[in-house]
Amino acid sequence: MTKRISFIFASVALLAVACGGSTNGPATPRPASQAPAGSIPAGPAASTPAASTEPTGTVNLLVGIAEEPAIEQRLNDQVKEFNDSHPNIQVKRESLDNDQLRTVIQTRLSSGSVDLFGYDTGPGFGGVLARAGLLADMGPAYDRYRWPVFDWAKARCTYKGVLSCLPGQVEEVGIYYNKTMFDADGYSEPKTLDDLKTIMDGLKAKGITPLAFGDQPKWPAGHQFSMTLSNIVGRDGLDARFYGEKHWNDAETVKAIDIFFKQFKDAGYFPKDPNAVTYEDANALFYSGKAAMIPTGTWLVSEITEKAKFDVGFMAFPSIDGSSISPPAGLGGGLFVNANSKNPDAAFAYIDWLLKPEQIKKWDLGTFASIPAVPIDASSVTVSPLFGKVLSDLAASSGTSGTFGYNIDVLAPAAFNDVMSDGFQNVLAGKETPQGLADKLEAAYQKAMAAGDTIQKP
Amino acid sequence: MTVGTAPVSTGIRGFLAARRAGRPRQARRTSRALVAVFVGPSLLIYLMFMVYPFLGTVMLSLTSWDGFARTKDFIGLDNYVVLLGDEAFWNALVHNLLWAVVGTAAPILIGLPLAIVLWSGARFRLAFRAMYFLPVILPSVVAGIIWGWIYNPLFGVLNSLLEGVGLGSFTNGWLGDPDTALWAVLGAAIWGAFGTLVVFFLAGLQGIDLNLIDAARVDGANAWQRTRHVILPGIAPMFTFVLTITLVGAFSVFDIIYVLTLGGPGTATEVLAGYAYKMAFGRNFAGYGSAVAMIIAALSLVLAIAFLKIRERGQVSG
Repeated sequence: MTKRISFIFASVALLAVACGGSTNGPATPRPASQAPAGSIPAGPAASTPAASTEPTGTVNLLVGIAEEPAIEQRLNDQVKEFNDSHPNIQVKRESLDNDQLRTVIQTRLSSGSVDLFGYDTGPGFGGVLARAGLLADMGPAYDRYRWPVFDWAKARCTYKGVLSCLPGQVEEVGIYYNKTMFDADGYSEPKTLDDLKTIMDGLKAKGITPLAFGDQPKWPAGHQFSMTLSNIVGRDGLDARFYGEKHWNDAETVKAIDIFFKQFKDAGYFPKDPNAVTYEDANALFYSGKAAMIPTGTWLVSEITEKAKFDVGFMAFPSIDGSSISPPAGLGGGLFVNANSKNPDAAFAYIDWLLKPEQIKKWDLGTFASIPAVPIDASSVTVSPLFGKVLSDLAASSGTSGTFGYNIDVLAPAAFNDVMSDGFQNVLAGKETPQGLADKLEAAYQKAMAAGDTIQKP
Repeated sequence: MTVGTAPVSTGIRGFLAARRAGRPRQARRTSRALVAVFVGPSLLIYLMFMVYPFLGTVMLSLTSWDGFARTKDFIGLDNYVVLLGDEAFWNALVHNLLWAVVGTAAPILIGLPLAIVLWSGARFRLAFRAMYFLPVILPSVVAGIIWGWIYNPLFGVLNSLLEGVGLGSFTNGWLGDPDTALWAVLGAAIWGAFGTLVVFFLAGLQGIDLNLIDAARVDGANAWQRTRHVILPGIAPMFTFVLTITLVGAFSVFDIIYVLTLGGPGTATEVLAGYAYKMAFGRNFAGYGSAVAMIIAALSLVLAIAFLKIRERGQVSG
């Protein structure tokens, strides 16, 4: 089931450029809170100059809990390996439910009981902490250790000119499909929306749920919206909306909402009552073969590889009426150091260890199937066919800076995300029209802009 | 009847009389020290964990704090003024009111008859008592998860049951449909609550003098008349207490809704506590969230005082 990927992924560097466009453009997706808690960005430290004195002490690491117990265990193993090889530093890892993390983070940072923590990088997350003076300036550590993080990714961690985090894994949102089922039915990856609808109609006629989409937790809808809107308006169109040059209630936005949340729902492409279907149940539908496709992000590669007993393919949402294909991509959160940390140097030493090429190969690529925001050399790394496909797709798509879109909820302010998550459930329930939701999105964004809570144009 | 209590009573009276008469200073100091020893620790805990956070929330509600900044800008009553025109707030309040009515009436209507039946000596009453109390020992989060499975549109027992009895057309995504979600969550909450009420009512029923029941029976009162004129007045104080705690609970309900629906679909099951949480931690409007929390506190306080007054009036007139 595994194959050897023997190509050097310098091209992933290009992917990263694509993800960020410029070094200051908006970046990526899903709540870091959803990301495997320790799939922390990694990459080859170009050359780590030994510190004059080896840092010592305890590093209290606080992260969101991994969705899978097995992954959580591996994350603990990763920390143990560091501790065993660094007797002078002890990392104490603590993982919390992601919602709980958000409620306690201010208190924990202020009290100094956390040195290093994983959190989202968006303006409503890391940006707020930076404004409150709770984040350490990591610029000197970057200089000292020469971490080769992509500029676009560093831009996502820079608040008011201060580099304040280490970017998390690079993620893309797309559609996983049951390749075995597709092959048996003679389907190939759809290139257009019409192709996709034809396939879904065929699957539905056979009693298979075409798309395992569950929106009970509210956040998945934002990813689907990101897929359709990214394709329709492209990266530049998204930039224009984020910078307030275009509106969130124009015809293109309405169309993006309408396609996925109205047309697909009305056509019966989802499980019945997607508002009541959890993310885990939607995934289970796919694993059990009752659903043919599942729209979600590359953070699920590891779990899918483990649980799906059939061949799985990964594709971007197809072209909509001749549009480009711009799958949402970017960062899955970041690692921050507490401004009140008593031991920041030990925290930086731990980060540096994570970025060692051998650690990246073993943990990020080999264990967590995650892609760090640094140039990586994937030669001699054994990965699953699915992860290999994801890596090559990302690399192949990285030729132009306009290839990728954004995952909107990472870059949008919290109030906008709230309107989005409630609103998509209402559209799915038939209680709201796509235009009505778009109008609310526009109002929320304008309000956030006026309050200075949106990302700034470089 | 009063033999056993006389010495105590006399002692207290004696103490008070002595105080009035002007006892030696040393004795007064001792009694004050005793009061401090007994009341002090609990008062300290109460001040630290109840009064201080409460006052802190009052202060926060008068600021525009985002939950993270080191400074908290005082904005007076602005948050409360904004609340008045906040459609989402009123929407949540309506849900709370509905919860208060249905979530109070239903457990009482279920719990009171069951308690009376158990009290009147039904067979297997111990087993039934344990069975009714079982949901109470489950944390509401666990109860929420269980009910999430029951309502699940893919494999839920409820839909399977409906299909099994030929009512497949009534199957639904109970928690995903805005028209049914609140009722579905209420159903789960009622299941979790009525057992507690059974226990409370049973405790109240234990205090009724059985001679009164016998006398009523001898006078020819039927079961309903005995319930109406003897049992219900006998448990009136407990009834008021139960009403108070369930109504106050209705305005602070949060956990079971959070587990089952996150306030969704949309805001179909959003209540004030959930809205306060969303504002404070989801949108980083900690000041505004605190203002919502203060409204919850105010509503609860008014209700609690009102029912205590009713209870006192009942006791006086009784």
